[in-house]
Amino acid sequence: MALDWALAETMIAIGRRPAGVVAAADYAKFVIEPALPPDTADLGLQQELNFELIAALRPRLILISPFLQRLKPTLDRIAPSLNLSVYEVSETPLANRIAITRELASHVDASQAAETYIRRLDALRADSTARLAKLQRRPVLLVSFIDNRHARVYGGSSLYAETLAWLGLESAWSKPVGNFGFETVGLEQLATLADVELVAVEPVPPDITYALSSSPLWKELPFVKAKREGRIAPAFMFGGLPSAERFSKLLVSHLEERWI
Amino acid sequence: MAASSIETRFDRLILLHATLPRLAMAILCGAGLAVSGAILQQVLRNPLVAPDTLAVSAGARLTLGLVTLLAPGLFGFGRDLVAIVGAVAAVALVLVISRSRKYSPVSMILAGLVVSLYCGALSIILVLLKDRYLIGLFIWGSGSLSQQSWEPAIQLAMRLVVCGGVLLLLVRPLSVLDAGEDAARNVGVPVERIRLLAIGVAVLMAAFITSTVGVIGFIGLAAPALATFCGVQRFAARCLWSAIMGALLLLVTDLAVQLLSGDGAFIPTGAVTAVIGSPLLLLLLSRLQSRQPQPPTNETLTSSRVGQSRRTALLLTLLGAATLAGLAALVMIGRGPDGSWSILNGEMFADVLPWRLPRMLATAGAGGLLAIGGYILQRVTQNPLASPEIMGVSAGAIMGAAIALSFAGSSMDIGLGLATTIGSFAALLFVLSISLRRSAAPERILLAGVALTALVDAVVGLIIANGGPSSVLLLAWLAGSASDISLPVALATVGAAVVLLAVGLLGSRWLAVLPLGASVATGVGVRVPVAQSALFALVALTAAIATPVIGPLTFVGLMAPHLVRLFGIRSAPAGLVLSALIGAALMIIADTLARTIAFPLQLPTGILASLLACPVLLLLIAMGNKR
Amino acid sequence: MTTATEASTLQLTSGSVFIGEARLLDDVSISLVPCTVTGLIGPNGAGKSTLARALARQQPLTSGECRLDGKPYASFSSREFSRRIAYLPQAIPTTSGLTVEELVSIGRYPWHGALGKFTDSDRAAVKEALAITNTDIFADRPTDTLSGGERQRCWIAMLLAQQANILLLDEPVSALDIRYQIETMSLVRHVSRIRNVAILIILHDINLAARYCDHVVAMKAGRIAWQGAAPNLIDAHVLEAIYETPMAVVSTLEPNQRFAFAKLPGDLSKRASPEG
Repeated sequence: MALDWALAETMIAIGRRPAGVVAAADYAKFVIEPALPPDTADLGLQQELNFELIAALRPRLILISPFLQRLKPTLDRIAPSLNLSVYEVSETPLANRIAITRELASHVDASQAAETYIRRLDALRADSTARLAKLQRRPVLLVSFIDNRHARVYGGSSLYAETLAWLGLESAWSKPVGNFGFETVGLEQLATLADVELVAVEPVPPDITYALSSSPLWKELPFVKAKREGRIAPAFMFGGLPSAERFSKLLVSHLEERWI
Repeated sequence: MAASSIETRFDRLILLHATLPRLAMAILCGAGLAVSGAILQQVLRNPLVAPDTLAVSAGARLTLGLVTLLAPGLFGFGRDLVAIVGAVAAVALVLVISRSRKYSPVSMILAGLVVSLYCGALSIILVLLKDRYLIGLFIWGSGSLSQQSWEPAIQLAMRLVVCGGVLLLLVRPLSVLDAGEDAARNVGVPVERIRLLAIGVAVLMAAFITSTVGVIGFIGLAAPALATFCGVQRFAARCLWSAIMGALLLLVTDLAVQLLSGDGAFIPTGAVTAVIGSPLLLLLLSRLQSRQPQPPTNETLTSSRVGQSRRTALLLTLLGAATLAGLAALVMIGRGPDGSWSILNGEMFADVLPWRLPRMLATAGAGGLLAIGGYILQRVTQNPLASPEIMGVSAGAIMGAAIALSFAGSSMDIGLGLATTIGSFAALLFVLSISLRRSAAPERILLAGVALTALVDAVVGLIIANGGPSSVLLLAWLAGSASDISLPVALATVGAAVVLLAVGLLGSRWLAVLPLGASVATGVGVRVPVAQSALFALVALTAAIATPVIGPLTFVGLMAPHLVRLFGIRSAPAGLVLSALIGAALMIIADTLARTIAFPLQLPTGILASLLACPVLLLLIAMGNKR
Repeated sequence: MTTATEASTLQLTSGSVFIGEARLLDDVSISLVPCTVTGLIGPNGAGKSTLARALARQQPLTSGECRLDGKPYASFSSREFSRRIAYLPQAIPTTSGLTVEELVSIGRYPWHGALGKFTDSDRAAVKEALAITNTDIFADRPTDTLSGGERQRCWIAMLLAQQANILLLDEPVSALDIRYQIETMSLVRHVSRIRNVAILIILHDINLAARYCDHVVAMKAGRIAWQGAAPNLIDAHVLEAIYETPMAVVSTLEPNQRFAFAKLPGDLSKRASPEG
């Protein structure tokens, strides 16, 4: 069973069914795909695991993220636990997530399926880059709006930025970002003269459109004037390979529409 | 050539629509909050009240969080409206709570803190249950002045001008309040109406500002204090100077924040002012005239006391037996993997009991500990709002956890326990060093804890504003999770509760004498500083042991002593034992609910306890008003 | 009855208390001896309470020395001290639900301490204190429900239960009506006789002081302005010097007693006279 969504989705992608997942009810809202098998047990909140339930289900292996490392000795009393981190910085885009997929597969006897899955992703990448090559490409500014004055901007080792690089695209954000690959900024800090494409990940607060349209500064920005801004459906930001797959598909089809 | 002229134009745009409005906003907010603080201090005759200490921001933050997570559509009516509703509700609650204590400085601060903490607890549970990864939404709480257009500043200015107009009409009658309430009434000022109107104006000003830029800590406290410190006496002049000081303070802080942060981490200005401001609160406390507390006793008066001691003994025995029986019964009841209610049997027994028993024992022990601490603290300080949770020790523990989480990043797990222990003991030493000073009035120790708690709140806000999974973990810890407690730790907690109860009983003679005041206590030969320090050390110890188990936000230590009074028990030893029993019983109930109520989700026990305890507590205090 | 010693004397020599520039107590010497009620009078702010607090070891002296039975104060531990000297502050605290008996029992603290057993002798002392002060009839009632005079008696009972040899009472009768004033003063005098204790009592009513005290000390601006046998206080010149206001004295024939009162300013006194 998986106590981390990134590991749960990876398991499903390589054809294994987790007996239980934390916060299974919210999984569909944040991770969206691949969907959980309907009979997956809900193990409680990640911050407040339902140990009784985990013990009663008698798992063979427990997958945890570094944030549950503190509980490893406790969980080991139930079944061996394996700590895999998607937050490591990798040398080439997505390399760490690929490595995790392989390691996880080796523990659940699905190495064959994992290789197949990774090959499929390589094909997806080749196809996507080919499609993007035909278009007039620009640096992409990846953000999500927090409220009517602030946004998160993604860079570094975040899933979004890594997927962007994996697709051979350039990120428009070169300034440093926090440990988890994003930084909170005031909207005015997004102001740039460069020819960029702004992609906002949903959800977008309802009053942001009005706030932006009433800002003279925002209206004067070159990329706003050229209407190079749009939004895409969310993918799980702290996810593994499947979330990267989903995000790249969403992004490529979005950019194809915009960059005709 | 053309490119550079475009760049100049662009720079000018940034200056015109981002930098300048930000400056204007800083001046407006600083001045507005300062005037709001000055009014509140005048009306309530209390140098420690300010929009922050009255829970304005906590109330606004909670409603914004609620709306964001549950009904974002409501923002169509305006973010500010939502925030204002919350702010006004929170302040009203604070006023209701402190009414029975005649709005005394200490009571208002404590009431404000209790309401703030409760709003915080509710916010936490919302985040845990609804949208864990959208924690960045709470950035608003940290007060960022970043601007993209003039519109918010102009809107805020217009609202503040209207408030200022009303204030002009109030200046005269409010100045008369300097001579005291009776004197003011004597010269024909309708004191109640003026007071209500003035509080309304002040809260509205603060709420307007808070809803526009978020929580800007402590300007409303610091600016009027500075004005008074500079010798400004008259109310009108104090308002004016507070406004100037407030504007300058916020402007300088904001410029410093912008210069220092550069391209680095996001630092909300409001959190920085709070970090600077909390020590100021401490400083003010040391200058505050320490008065003998004159509590209007609202005790229940039992008519007959015949056989009281025998009945007390019977009550204690019964309750003790009931607690044990309840523990034994409830530990058997739970819900199986399919969600159905079940009683432990056979096979399940070995699987489930090792998880369920330790958490019940540990939370019961921790509840008992906090209740012991709360009972002692309320007796010594004669203040029904005192409790170990707000004595600063919990704050120290949170601080330790926060620092560990933010510095160690994702590999923080090992140091967490150590850091919280160090944090709580550092706070303990701090509190003790204050209590050992000769002139330390018990209430000053409480207030030192309040200042510490405020400081910690700011730091936690700073961490959470930067988002990321580690801030989720911090929140979870704040919520008080006891699910992974091992049996030895649980037994140790229960053991500590029993030992400290015994130690507390040894000090029960002091508990009988100290409430009569330092003068009488010294008169009968009690060395007051020694007795006080020993008891405070005991209280701090209870908090330091209990906090890592059930988190800092349970309110059990606050509530149990109130229930003891409801039972009509007044003798110190019986009260202490009863308080411990009630604390343990409350936690056993809370823990059972936490396990089962939202199955398969389990809720953190600490926060569930606070959700249960706080409304009951408020009810008890409100009932006390009527008597 | 157990007491620390048979009787105690207290001696303050050249005691001064300065707080900043203010001289609250300025070179005052006073002694309290057994079986004597000493009245302490003087205008507001004369330093009466400061003196009482200094004698009760609740206010450190800037200079000068207090001695109890010839030994410096510092040589007594808190409880040893409280077994000898009991002090009733001017502002009596609220008792938050304590019954009279519980309140009086607190007076036994110096004897049993924080951990000692509450023995039969403690019980006897409480019982006796309740009996002397006539508070035994409401021993089980919460102190807060009593009237001001009854409550004052309970506090005196607490001091009696303390079985100290010296009692320091700061304005115990000021808030009471005439009947309770007389009752309380009689009680104080009675106690000084049967218990052989030294009592210092701060009073505002000079006639009360003259009638019930043995010795009177008058203070003014931190210094002792006058002292002497109580009846000698009732003298227009003495009182005018203390209070700086015109005084007059009248005598009653049977029993032969003198009473002092403040003269009214000229025009008012005319209006007050029946023929005026």
